[in-house]
Amino acid sequence: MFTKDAGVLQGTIELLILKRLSAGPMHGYGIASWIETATGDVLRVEEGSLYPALYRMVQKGWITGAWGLSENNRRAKFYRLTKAGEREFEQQAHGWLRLSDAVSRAVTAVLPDGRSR
Amino acid sequence: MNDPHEEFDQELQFHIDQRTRDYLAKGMSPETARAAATQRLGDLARVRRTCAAVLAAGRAAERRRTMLTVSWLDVKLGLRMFARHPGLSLVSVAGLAVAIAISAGYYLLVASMLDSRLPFDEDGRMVVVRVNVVSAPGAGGTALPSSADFERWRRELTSIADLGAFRDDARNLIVDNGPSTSRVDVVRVAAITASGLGLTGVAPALGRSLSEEDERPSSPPVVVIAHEEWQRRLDGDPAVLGRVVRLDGVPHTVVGVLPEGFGFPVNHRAWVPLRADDDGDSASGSGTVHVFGRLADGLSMEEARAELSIVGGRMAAALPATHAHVRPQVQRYTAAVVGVDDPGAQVGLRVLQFGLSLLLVLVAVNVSILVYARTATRIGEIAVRTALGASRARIVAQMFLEALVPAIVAAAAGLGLLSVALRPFRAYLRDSPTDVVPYWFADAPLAVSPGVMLYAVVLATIGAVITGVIPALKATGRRVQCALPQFSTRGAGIRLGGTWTALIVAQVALAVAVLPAALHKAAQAYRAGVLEPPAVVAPLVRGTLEVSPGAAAPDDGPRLEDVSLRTARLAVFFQTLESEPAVSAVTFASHFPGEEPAGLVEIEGEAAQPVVLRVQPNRVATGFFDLFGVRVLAGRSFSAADSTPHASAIIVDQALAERLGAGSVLGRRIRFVNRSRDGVPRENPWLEIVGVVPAFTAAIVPPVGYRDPLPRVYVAGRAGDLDPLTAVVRVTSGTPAQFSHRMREIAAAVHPSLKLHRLSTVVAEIDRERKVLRGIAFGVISVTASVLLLSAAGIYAMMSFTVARRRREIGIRTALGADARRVLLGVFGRAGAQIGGGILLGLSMAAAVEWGAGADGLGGDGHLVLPAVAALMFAVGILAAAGPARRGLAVQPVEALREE
Repeated sequence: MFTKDAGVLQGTIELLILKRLSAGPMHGYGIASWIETATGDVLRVEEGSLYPALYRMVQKGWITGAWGLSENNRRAKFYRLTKAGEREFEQQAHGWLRLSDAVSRAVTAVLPDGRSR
Repeated sequence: MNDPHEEFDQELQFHIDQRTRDYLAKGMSPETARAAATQRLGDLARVRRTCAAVLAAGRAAERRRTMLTVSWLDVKLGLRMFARHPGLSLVSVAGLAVAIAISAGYYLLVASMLDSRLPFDEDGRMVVVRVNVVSAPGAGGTALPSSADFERWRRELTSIADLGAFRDDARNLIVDNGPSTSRVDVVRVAAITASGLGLTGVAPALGRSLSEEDERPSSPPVVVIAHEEWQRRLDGDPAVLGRVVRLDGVPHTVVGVLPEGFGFPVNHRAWVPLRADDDGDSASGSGTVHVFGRLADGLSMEEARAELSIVGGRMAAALPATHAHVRPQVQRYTAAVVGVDDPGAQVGLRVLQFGLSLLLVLVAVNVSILVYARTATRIGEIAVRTALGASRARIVAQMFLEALVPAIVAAAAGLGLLSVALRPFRAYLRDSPTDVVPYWFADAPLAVSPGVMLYAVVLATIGAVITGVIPALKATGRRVQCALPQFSTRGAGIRLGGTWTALIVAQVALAVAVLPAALHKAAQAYRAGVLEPPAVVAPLVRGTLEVSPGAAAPDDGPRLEDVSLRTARLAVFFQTLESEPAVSAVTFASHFPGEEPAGLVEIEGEAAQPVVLRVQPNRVATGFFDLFGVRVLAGRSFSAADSTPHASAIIVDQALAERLGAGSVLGRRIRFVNRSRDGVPRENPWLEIVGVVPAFTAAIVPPVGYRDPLPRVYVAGRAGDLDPLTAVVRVTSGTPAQFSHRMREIAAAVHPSLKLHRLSTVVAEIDRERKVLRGIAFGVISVTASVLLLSAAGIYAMMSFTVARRRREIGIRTALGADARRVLLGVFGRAGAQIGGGILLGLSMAAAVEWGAGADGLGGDGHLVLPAVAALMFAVGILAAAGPARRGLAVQPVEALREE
């Protein structure tokens, strides 16, 4: 499940960040681009809210940031998952899948009048 | 790159640049691309603010975490310092522990006196009503109200519910165990109103409690007895109800047994109904009683006080002859019984408590000197830490925690010491022959309670603030940064100021000044405490013989108030005792030898001014000296004629004979000097010295005063003149303890109201005193030892400090060819002079005290004690200086210079 105090959107951003970083270190811009591509441009992250989310996650100890060189040789801050972040990702992904599964089953379920939507 | 805000800006810049690059690739113009990229990030200022807030929250959390880890680190560091400086730790702990034990012990005593509660009165609503007599300005005091007052209050008072009253009395409890055998014991009896006893809500273990019916004069006399008395005196007889026992000869039927541990009102063992006709006076309402009750529900002490003052005013108006100067007042029950309800007494107790806490402050200041000396050697460390960003508060906090470790250890040791010291004290209270200790104290024995522990922890914290924070503030207050370049010179940056030095000197002086008295006192107490009682007292039994005022014999027989009648009865008593097969001799005196109170005598002589001496007079039976194996050195002993009312013979001891000067003192005349209440000396008849006996005592004289016992004088007296009197019996067969019961039986048989109090063997009595004396010796020696230890530690600290500070100088002078020993002598010269000065100052103070005390001073011992103490302090000084001196001699010139 999402963390107790986080809203759905914030929780969603955190889950998506965790998902991207589970594949390896990446900078903020890379994360934002990946989210766009991965969601087929459906979820366009408001990029301004990405960085506060990243900083909060650093503070929670889920990810760490370190300066490195980007693919075009620019200095960029790369974030990577910590052990706690990996555990958090497992937990959040599991919760999200259960929730979305339950919601989609309810949405596609046949109603008493025989219609499905 | 350490600034998080700068990092953040760079991160955002990278983001915008990348997005711009993407848009350019999609064919946007550079301006449009940058504008679009920036727009996608949203309100940049808001993003920055949000991120800054997140970062700030993170930093705060980090600081909290660091604080916790650092504090734990400080505790560990404190423990390490404690182990690394065992000498300093030992001194701090020993000094603080004794001070904490004394303060906490006194706190415990005060708390148990002020806050004790009756077991059935958890909320402390039980009160007593007494009267204040305000006859004249400055005169008067607290008195007991009369029975009539009680009856009136019982009718009128509404703020105190269930008013009760009792009269306190000691009576012979005589239990007949057959036609010819009976057992006699003196018990504390409360003649109490049934409602008053009912107020306790205590259900009898057997039978019933007292009823109002019992209070009627026509009702048969009944008694309710304590569980302990039932077990002890009546052998736990299951058929005790309905048995008849005699109280001072009057038969009473036992109707109930109250449960174990119960002793209300104070420490009573039997309860009889309080009757209006009890001792004649009560019928007229002039007999006095103790009045008590419970505050009515919802009402406060103040409301009860207000009502009593109105009632008191009404009584004063109605009965001006008797009540014009009487003011009734209400007091808390337990505090009133213990005698601390008076606000003045409470303030006194608290002031003394504050004074004792100052003892801790004194010790703590001493320890802080030591800690400061150690801190001085760490000035470099402090400077480095300050340079690395540690705040002053941080360093002070660390030093406080370092000081807290020994302080807490000291608190634990102090509490341990206290509980060891309390054990004999409790035993002493338990074995006290008089029933003065209130029964509720037995339920809550003096023990180290959580409250006392908390108090000790508070004291330890105060101690740690003084021993840790003050040196830390002093060490960090100077420009620590300046110390950085010279931190290898170990403390050269700070100085042991004049205040510290003066403190040490004053302390050495004080130690020297108080030590003679303390050692003398401790030695005296110890000597008396381990003294074996003389063989002559081994077979002796002693008891205090008393006649109850107004006590009646059965069947309204004669009362013993008449002197000649009493003399006759007592003569029978002593004759009966002497005729006992186990008894070889009997005597009596107004006081047991050794326990005589002081008095004054005037010596007849040619001098214009009368010579008046302090003595301890005793009025004794004619055979008194024989029984104690005292032979007359000169003149004669007493004869029967000497005890007649107008006889003029007096016997003095050798101590007085020596004071009277050379030559025979026989035939010289002395007389007692006493003054009437308004200070006018009374003219007493002259008495002629007919004999001299050796100075002797058969009791252990507690060294309460700072003096040797006074000379003693003896006059002969008749038993009937003395009330109370001390009877002494020498037992030849069986143990003296076994004979005690027989003595009570004989007394009760001669007259049922003749009571023997404090009945015990002389040896047992001496043993009790000896325990107290050993306790005193232990206490005085503990305090003295801690004072000595602290003085030694102070000298040690000063010496170490001097060596540390002048290390470089010693090195340079040695390098220049000076003899190290001479250099050292120069360095220590001042310190040595200070110690010497301290010792001299202390000695002159002690000598002044000794001179001022005159005969009450150390006496002959003084010539030995004063130089001994000076030598002791000097030895302590030398020992304390030895370590630092060795370190000073070991200073290598090259190393000392290299440190520069």
